[in-house]
Amino acid sequence: MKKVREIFGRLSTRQKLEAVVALSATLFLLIAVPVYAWFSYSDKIETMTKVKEPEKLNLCAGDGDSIENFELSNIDLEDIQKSGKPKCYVFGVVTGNSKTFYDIQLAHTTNIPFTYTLYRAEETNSSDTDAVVYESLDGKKTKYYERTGSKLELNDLNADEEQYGRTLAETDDKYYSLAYDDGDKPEIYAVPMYSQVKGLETLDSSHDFYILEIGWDSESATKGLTDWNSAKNKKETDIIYITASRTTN
Amino acid sequence: MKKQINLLPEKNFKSAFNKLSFIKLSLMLSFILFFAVFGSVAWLSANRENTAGGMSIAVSGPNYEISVLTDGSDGSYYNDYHSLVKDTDSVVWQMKSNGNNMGNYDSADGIYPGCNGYISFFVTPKINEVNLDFSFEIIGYNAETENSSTKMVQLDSSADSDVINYLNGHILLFENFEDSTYSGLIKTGEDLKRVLADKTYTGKNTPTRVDIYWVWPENLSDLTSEKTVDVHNDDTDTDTQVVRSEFCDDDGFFKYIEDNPQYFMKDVVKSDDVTVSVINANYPYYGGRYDFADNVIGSRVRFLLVKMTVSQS
Repeated sequence: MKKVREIFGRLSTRQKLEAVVALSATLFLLIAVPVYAWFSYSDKIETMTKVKEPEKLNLCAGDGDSIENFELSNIDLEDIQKSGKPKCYVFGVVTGNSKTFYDIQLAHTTNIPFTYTLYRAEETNSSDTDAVVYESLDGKKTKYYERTGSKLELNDLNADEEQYGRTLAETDDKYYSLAYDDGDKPEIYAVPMYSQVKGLETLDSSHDFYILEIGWDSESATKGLTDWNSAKNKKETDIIYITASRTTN
Repeated sequence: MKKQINLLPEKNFKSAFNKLSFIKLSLMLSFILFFAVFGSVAWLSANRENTAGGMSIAVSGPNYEISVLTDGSDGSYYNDYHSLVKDTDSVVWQMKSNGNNMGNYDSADGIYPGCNGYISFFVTPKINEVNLDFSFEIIGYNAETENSSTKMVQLDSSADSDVINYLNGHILLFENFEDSTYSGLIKTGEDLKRVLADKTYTGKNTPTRVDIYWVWPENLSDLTSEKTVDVHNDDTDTDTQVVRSEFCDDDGFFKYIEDNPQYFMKDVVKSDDVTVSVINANYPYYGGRYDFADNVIGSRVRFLLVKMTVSQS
């Protein structure tokens, strides 16, 4: 200590001042750093949890039967033309335990001038003359469904209405580019049309039922290629994919 | 010829002193002290477990300590996901009770509408009385895996603002839960943080357990169901009947829903001036808007980071 005092005494006034400032700064750091460290070290606690993904949507046939029982068969186009009555089918959407909003899409080819109309449906009894009949594939079960409410608005995402008297799918839009590569040359009637109903709300989480009416576009026969557009059972096939997906926007 | 330098001790000292001023010396000393202090803090952080008390020191200020249990776990999602986004200076919330807390929620699939539970910690004042602010954040993430490498992508404040809003109204935090009724809603402020402000804790070195109750109500009607209660006015010594939520005893709970409909319902905004009475009178519509928002959360958010920041009031 004596030696330090001796050394300090030999310093000039300026050097003494520097020494005092340096000592003060050191003391300040000595106190400030650990306090700051405490605050900066940890004033937070955190954890992470997961959000359960909503249950998958499923499609079913009438009465909640597996989708294999949903069969689009026996369409008599000439009879549809004669009677003016569409052919009707029942299917359901199962949204699981919670309510949700979802979209239904019919992605279909346009080989035959079909019309597609969708209604919500509920089970009814056999005496209802307007009822749509659902019969399971094994023929052991028959159920009846009635339309509830007005028809649902099926919005065509990629309609091109100026094609041979028909409404066909666009062949130069983003949906076409998503489906085909540059070198692809699909037949124009094979390009799928995407018809959607958006924002349907779950009414019954076990099954929301729908009636799909398949009719014939009688006006198409008066326009464009009339023979091709007339209702004849010699027509070939059309493919329809029905999908249901959650509305997320 | 070799040149000999033979300085006197005094000269030797002065020369050294001139070359290396006290400022430089003090800087060296400061560095040494700096590393010494940080070394000791690092030691503390690496050895935060205090087995004698059964708790670990997690958060500490000069006048308080916040502790969490050591016999819980880091949560089911720590190793794979939480560690990817963890704040380096924050402590992992270890919790027990798999059926209740958020980090260990018992379903491997995660939380969903209708779930509830609590998260716990202990406050130990280091003085007789301390006032603390607790700020909670619930931040949404999605995991993206590319080339076997997983990264966490935080919800975008602009593109995902709707989802961020729904998290505020669908995953609620409360101070209390008693007789099936919540109270003390920790409201979301303008900065989207939920602050529990100016809470007083007394008893030097005495730990007080704090439970924060979280709930994801299944239906909007859970929140908007009404009950009539008597509120006593001490000045007039009379009871007045008021309508409150069956879900939450807070006086302003309905007003909070009415002021922030965008937190609860999809495509409903404050300028719509929707009251709870209107919601209940048109429940099929507004209840659907709430379910829709649940659906959006479930579809667009996979992980939630729950973060609590403590500071002295």
